[in-house]
Amino acid sequence: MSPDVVAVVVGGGPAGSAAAAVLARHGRCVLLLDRSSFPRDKACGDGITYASMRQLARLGVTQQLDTYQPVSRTRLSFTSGPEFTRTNPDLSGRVVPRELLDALLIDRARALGAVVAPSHRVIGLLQDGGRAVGVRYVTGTTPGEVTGRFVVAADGATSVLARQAGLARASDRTAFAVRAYVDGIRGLGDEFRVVVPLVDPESGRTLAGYGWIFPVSADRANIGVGFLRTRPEEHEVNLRTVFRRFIASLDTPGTFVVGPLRGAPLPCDFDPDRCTRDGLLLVGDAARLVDPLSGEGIDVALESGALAGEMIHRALAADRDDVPGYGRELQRRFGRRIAAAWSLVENHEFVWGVVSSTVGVDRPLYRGVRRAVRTYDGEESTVPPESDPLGHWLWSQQLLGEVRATQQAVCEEVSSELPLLAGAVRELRDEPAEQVRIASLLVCAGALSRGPWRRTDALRLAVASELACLALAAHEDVMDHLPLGTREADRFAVSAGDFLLFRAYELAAQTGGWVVQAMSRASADVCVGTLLGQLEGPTPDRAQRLTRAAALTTGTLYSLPWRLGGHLAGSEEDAVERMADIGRALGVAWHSAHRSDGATSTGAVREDVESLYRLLGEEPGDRQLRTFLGVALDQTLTEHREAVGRGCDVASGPRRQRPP
Amino acid sequence: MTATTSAGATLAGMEALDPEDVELARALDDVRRAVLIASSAGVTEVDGLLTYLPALAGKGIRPRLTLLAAAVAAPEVSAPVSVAAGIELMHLGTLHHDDVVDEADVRRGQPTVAARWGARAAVFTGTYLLARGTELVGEAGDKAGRAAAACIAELWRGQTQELVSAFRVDRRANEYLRVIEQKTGALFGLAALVGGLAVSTPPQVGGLLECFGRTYGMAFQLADDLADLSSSSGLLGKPTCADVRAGVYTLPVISALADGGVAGARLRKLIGTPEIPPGDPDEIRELVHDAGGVNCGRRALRGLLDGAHAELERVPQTWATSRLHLLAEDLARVT
Repeated sequence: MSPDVVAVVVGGGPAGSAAAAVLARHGRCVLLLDRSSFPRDKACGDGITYASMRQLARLGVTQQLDTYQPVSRTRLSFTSGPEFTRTNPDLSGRVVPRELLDALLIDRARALGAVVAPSHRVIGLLQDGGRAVGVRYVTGTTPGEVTGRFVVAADGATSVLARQAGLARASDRTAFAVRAYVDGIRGLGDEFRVVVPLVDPESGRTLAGYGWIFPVSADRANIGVGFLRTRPEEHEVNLRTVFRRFIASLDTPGTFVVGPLRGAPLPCDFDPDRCTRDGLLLVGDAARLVDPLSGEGIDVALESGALAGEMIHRALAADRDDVPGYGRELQRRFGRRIAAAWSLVENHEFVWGVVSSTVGVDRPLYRGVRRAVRTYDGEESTVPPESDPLGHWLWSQQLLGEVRATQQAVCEEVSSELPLLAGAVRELRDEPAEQVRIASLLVCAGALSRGPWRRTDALRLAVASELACLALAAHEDVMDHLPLGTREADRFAVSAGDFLLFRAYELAAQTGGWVVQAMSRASADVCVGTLLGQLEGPTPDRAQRLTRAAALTTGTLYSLPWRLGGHLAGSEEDAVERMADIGRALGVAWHSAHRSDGATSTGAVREDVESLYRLLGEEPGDRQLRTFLGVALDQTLTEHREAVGRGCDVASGPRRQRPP
Repeated sequence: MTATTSAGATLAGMEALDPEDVELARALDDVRRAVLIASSAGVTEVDGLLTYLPALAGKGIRPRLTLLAAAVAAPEVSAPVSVAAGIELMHLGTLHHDDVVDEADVRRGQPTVAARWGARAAVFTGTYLLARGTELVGEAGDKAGRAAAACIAELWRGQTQELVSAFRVDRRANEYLRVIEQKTGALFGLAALVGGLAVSTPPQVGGLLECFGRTYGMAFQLADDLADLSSSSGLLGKPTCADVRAGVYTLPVISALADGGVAGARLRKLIGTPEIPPGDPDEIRELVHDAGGVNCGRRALRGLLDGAHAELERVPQTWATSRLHLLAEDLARVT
């Protein structure tokens, strides 16, 4: 063993191989030790997700995977019947038995120049004055030592190195999974199949976990179950029993299990403050980096391993003995996803109730719920529109950044307290309408300001009034006539709307009691309008009733930002009322524009909005408002043309999201 | 209406009738009228819906608390009727949402709004009443408006905590106490606080009144939860053991679950998941009783009431203060 080894990597799983490969590619002298000789079997679902494929591509090993079973979608099946499929057209996952994957990865590290020492069992950390300087190992019966400037602990869930460095601690935040290979399964598609709920046959309890069927080949599958113990009484659950019940529930005669049922712990208690210490870096399972909801650890292992390698390389280049910010960087990359997953797991009974009782409901809130479960790992992102008239004008007025920051702030407000809500809100939002309302408030508060422009208050109140809009939108998805016992959906809708409403009030209160009152008046009006619009049965004055309802709902929601902006600008009471009227008229116009049932012509919408100009005077502030209104009109007409073009009736809710 | 309050009982019994009691009864009548007026939106098609629950007589405990708190702070100032009506409207608003969440079909002896007009209508009616109430409470000043906003947040936190911890047998006593402080105590605290604010009481007295309201509200909730498990129920017009069946484990159940004896063990087997049939309500009630849960709940109630009385010792001692003592002690009688 060479004395100028700069990094000793312990463990040849994905995390260790990734770290060794990255260091070797940088020309660093790296030694990788593992207690086994490769190939060796390892209990795992063998699912290489799209995220893992991306990491593998960076290491240059995707080509070697071409011969393995490709997977183009994930199918989530409820044992009660309904199913959802998420297809990734641009990406393909694979199912690769770990016996082969890990061997491929270690070969890759070797090919890049890492020295691999199989059959070397590491038994301890060498320390010098508290600093990790190497490891002690046994090969055969021969003990030995090796030193290096850095040590990477990729030695898994039961990491000896983490324990000796004092980074490990007792925790029950570990999931357990078992799997077996099963032959003779018919109808295996090119998909990851996930089955919920996972029920313990002995206690009848729904567990925080799932069963899986991943195709290894046309007729062989990796089948397993895994769950996280979240309640004390679940310590009695026998995973083998759960597995047997799961296999039986699949009802696939003629199949047989090949090889043993094998299990593995999945450590999920990642802690950014316990990932590194004086020359030692933990990666993968040793850093407890497993997603507690999906149990997925490979992509995180690969990424954390590569990150550790990269940071060690940089430290060496700067002739430093430490890797400042490693834990922080892990937290930045994985913290949000892991926290979101924990929120779903901790409240899994509630989450389960909501998701399963709304599987067939095609309303924005429940589409959002499904999205929240599907994409808690934050894979989806939306690109805000840039080319529309309003966006362009806001940009020219240097307001676009603030409008977008406000929209971002709305999203962040909803991300914390109620599981599922952040994802649900994405479907409730109508971004173009949001932009118009936020801009209304900022323009009114700024353009008319007689004193210094109260930017902080204006931004905060813009967030508050958007939250109030979302609250009412969420409550619109409360459903009538649900059968008893399946009303978790309503519970969630009520709770989601109430949360959004009180956050709106809380923010309002930070500016003053008067905003709370203005907000109360507005939400009372919207409620009356909504009730008026939802009256059942045909009444002779239906059209007139719906017009009144629209003025009270959309009209009020557009009026509120004008009112608040006018107040913030210090305008006189009657001026504020005039502003509120303009806002209301703009809302009514917007509402009309979204009717594409032939009831509204483009000319009529233009007339609606143009009538607003007459409300404006000749003051300088009014002139800026006039320009803004012109732009808002353009935007409204653009929306109108789009709505007509789609030919579908969107009159029921101007807040509905445009299809992608 | 068996659970009458001190002033009501005095009136009914025609015992020593202080002029202040008569004043209070009159002011409460004014509050009822103000509630009805504020709950109507002046829109014929929907007014029937909006005033449906407000028109059914309730106990009116919260507005009573507001009026008494105002009378403690400033006996000579006229009763803040509008602010008290705001408190009652906020309460009525939350009841609409509770009825949807709890799938309740009957309230105050009548079908709920949710049962008659559907869940969505109930939710918007509730939000309407909550908003009207908040607006009226805000009339007591900037601080009252802010306190109302904070209160709504607490109500939600309490409700939601209860929702997500349904059927969880690892709920702890302190979690339960925090939840009832939020879901019930907060609005009682607000009721007392804004009573004080409406008559410009000094901040220190306002704070003490709020503390009393909160503690009293927690005691009120615990008494309600005990009634759900005691054989002498029917008082609240709810079927017994409704909480346990809905997966809401209250203090008596939490302490019974922790019991090491036979009853505790049997109870742990019976409850804890919606998948398991909840069993005979009578058996569950007996088990909670045998495992010491009811006694434990009663002790906790006594503790809360003692705390409430102690808080009252620190505010000005007036006729209204004595009525607040009676109001609190009334809860001990219920269970």
